[in-house]
Amino acid sequence: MRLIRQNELIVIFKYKIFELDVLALTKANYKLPTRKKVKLSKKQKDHKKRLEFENTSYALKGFKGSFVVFREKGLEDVFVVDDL
Amino acid sequence: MKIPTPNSSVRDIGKVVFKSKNTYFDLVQNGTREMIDLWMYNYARNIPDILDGNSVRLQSVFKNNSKSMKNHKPNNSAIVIGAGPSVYEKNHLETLANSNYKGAILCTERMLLPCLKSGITPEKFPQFFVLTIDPKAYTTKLYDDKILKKHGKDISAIMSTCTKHETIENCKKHGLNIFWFHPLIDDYRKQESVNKIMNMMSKSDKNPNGLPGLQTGGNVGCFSWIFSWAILGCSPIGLIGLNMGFDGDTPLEKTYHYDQVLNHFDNDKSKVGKFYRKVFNKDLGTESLLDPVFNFYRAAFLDLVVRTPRWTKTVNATEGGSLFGKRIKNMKFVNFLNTYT
Repeated sequence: MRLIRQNELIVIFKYKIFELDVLALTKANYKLPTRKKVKLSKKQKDHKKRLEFENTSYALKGFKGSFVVFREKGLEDVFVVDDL
Repeated sequence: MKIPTPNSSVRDIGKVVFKSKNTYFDLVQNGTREMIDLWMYNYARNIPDILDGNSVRLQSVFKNNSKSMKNHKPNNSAIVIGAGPSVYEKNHLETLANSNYKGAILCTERMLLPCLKSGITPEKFPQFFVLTIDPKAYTTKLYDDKILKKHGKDISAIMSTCTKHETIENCKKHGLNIFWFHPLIDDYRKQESVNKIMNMMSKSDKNPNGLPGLQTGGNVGCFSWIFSWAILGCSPIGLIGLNMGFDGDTPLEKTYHYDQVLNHFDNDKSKVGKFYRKVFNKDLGTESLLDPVFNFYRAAFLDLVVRTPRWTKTVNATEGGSLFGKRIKNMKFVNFLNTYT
């Protein structure tokens, strides 16, 4: 008996000559448990809306100063660097 | 070629930024980092001048180690001149021009021509500096006036490597002595750091190690203050025209960044006011109005001033504005001149 070649195997599956009953367990066929929706208070909703608004409006149009303030973590006290 | 505009795709450069409690601070900071295209555009065009130019290191009184700075004993004071409204309201330029002040003068670029025209010249004040960190085109005209032909050769121009190239051309045209530095913009400890790459490209026979990187504080007024003590070793440093805000009763429409802020809110005037705040200067008993940009600069300055070496004294002689607090002494400008001449 000869072995099935790889390209023959592709044809078998592509044209559904042979179908597998066992499906791989993926997110598509696994029923995820439903998460209870958190009900936001009016204050939280307003806060969220405000944050979204601030983030988009600042980020899109951005306040542009001359330069950034150099404040990298661990280097907050650096004013002059001789060997960059 | 089209001159670059802010590039939002490079915002992740700012992700390592110091996490401030102030959300506005981070937003303005990251927004500014989007200017990276423009900085690099200018930097590339300045490279021939940088390779053949002088480093700010030549101006430094410190040896290349932190101990030298820690144990420094200043023997010279300095005055930083910003372009805030109080400099005109209080006639500070005339007061300085008529004084016998012997310390260093540090002009922000916007004040160069007004200073020279008011009699604050390098002939009268031999330690005369002008500084620029802004990459934008408007700086070009600030270095173009016939008065510079007379005084240019005696002025030291401290220039960011990302300054608009036409501005550098004007400085050269008028004979200003240019000294270069890299503005610190990201974490130079990392191999992919923009600052690190900039410095690699600036190494030359004249400057085998490249150029120093300097904290700027985000604006030229703050940078001038940093330069005065961190490079020149001056103290005390008197500040004039560094209002970082407006008088408390100034209408919002008359504030410097109003149009910019209005634009953020799609011209909805009702929203603009929410982003302004007032602070009470308890040293002077006056109220200051801050727009989001000045709020950002003020927060940076107040944060930096407490990190300076103990020998550094900062005197706010602006007679107004929002700079007050720990390690800042408010004083009238005439008193500063009488005390530290």
